[in-house]
Amino acid sequence: MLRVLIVDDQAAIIATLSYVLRKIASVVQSESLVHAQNALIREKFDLAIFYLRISDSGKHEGLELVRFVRTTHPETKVIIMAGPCNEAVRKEAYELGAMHFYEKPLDISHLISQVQSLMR
Amino acid sequence: MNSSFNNNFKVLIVNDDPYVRSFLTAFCEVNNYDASFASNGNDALNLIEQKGPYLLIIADFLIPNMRGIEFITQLRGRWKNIPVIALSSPGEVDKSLIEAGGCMFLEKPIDPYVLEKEVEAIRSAGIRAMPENY
Repeated sequence: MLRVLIVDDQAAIIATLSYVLRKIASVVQSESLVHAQNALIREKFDLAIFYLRISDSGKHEGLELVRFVRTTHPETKVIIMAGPCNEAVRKEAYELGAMHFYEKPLDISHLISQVQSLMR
Repeated sequence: MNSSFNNNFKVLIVNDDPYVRSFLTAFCEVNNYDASFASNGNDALNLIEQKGPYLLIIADFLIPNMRGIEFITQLRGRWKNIPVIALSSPGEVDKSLIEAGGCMFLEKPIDPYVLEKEVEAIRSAGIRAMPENY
């Protein structure tokens, strides 16, 4: 079973993603940057799904986590979720190695198909 | 869970919010429900007429063209027994109106595990009505 880390500050989003992925993946949930970093140190994930802004700090913690996972487990696939944002941020995410960049509202069916493609 | 049985569980989703619709699409996919979609009340009533019987309707209370309570009133005028789960934001609607229409009521944000419990209860109860007046 795939190991998936989901990081978002909205509990409803985490609950929804955990629910729809539960039959194909073992999901670890995190609502903060530090907690997510600790999880990434402790274990290797097949897929990490990061929300771009995890707090109200104005920073792009999601991109920070992509950089972080590149140093701990570079083979981990990464998906970024974001609200409306400019093209430069999207470009940076892809340059850091993100597999997909979704703007909310999230297309959950498409996300599931992407996760399933990782299983093949 | 018996997926072949669930594949015969026809669900009509009445909603125009992209995120909620995306979630409900995925919800039906992972549970092997046979989902159809309508963006507004009129389309939903037409779909029931043409493609029914549906064994469950999951409807947002605020749908275009028709207020939720109007949709439920029209629905009940023709199909008295189709189970309906009505979705609404907190404080958006008087629950008694929904319950008077024989509907179950779930507040958004939707807890997928609560929704699954409610849907499975309906599914387990089976088809409660005859095709001519389901």
